[in-house]
Amino acid sequence: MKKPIIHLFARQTESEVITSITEALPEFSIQTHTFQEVKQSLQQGEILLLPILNNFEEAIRISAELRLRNPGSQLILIGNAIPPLVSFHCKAAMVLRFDDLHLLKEVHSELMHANANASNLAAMNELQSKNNELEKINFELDRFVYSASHDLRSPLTSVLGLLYLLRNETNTSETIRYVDLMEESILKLDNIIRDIVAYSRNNRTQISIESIELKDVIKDISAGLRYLESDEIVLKEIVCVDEPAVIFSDRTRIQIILNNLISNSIKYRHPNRKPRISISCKKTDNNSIVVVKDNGLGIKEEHLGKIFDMFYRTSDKSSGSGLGLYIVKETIKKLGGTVDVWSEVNTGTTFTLTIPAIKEK
Amino acid sequence: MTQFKHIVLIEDNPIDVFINTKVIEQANLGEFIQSFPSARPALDYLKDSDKNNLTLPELIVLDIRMPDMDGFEFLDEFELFPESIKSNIKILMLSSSIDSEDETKAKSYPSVIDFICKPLTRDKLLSVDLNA
Repeated sequence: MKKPIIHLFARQTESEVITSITEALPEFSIQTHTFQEVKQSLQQGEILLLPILNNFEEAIRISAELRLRNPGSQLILIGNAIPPLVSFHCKAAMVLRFDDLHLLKEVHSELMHANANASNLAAMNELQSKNNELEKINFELDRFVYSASHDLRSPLTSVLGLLYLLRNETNTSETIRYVDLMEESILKLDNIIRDIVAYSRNNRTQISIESIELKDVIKDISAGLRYLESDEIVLKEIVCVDEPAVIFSDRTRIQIILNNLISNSIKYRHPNRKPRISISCKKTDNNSIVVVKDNGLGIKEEHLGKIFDMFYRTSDKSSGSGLGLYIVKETIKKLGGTVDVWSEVNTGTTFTLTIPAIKEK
Repeated sequence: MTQFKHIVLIEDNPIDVFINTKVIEQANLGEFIQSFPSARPALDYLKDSDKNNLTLPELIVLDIRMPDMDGFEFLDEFELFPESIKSNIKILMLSSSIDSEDETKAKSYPSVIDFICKPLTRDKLLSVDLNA
């Protein structure tokens, strides 16, 4: 039967110590590690031996590191004169004198049993939470594949229909019309794919915090949106931030959120008036509140509960993917914040973003 | 090809409205082609046609996937209409759906005469038995 493993952490210069321990515990397989290897993680729930000769401060520091890297393991200190305060600080399971090492045999199984329970519980919790996450991912993936197959196909069937007409058309002014419509469909398809990528990126990349000047973000967004609508009426009425607004958050994600909200405001502007989009920022103790308000068409009450759903669109008229607000919701969730909407048909829509103040590291 | 006096197209995508109208025109299928961007106004039109002294279509080309009210929900409401409205109307379902369940479900409605996958083409129209 395999010998049970015990991990011994010692300096290479302490070869005598290592030898004496190994000789005292022939029933165990002693794996020796240097102090540099203290930063590695071992199997969960193992027994760790740490000989303490004189430098107690160092011992406390090393045991903290060991316990951090190896949750669920039991730490045993070995030495001949270890003050109780030191063993308290080291949070050791046991303190043994060199002469008493053989006692380890008797308590070993108890210790391993205690380990097993602790690490089992930890492992089970982790498994459960990973399982929940996987279920959520699978569900989203199914929904996504179903919706994407329709939404990705739709512009393509439009293009196919137009090609069919194009083949049989002799009138050039008509053929130009077909080509324009084909371009429109393909751009729509491209938008959908871009949104899908943005959504995926949000899910996968780590958050990186920096100081963000909202004015700069909005300037970047305006530059990008200049080509959104064929008629140039729009862009000039974005009222920039009320107060010098600096928030600490992930710049890419804030930009994605604001970009989606602003381009929606432009897309759904009221036909009878110049679009005005105002963005303001207010700081409270724990949060930054960013408000994006427009004077556009507004959203009917029956849609309000669903606009953040994946692929939900109020009409097929827009070039949108139906993912924009879903991405906003998921992105702000990733930042630990929330989004709320108020709207009135023919008056306009207001989105309120609550972004928790993430402290700079 | 059989000539219809009045055809109604229910389709939310304006590009597909353009395509379908063109194809139907080129197939000489109908004298007057009227389109609705969503199901509800189409239902209202049908319901109030008598009151408003407007003609009823003999053929409805109906898209399945529309936001708000989809093609099947339209059919559910339509089948509740009195015979005076329903009896002379045939329905052709049009879909970008590759879901075979959609086709089976569509053909279970008595007013539906056929199910076509987009894009609509003259050949596909020709293959439909419009006298069914």
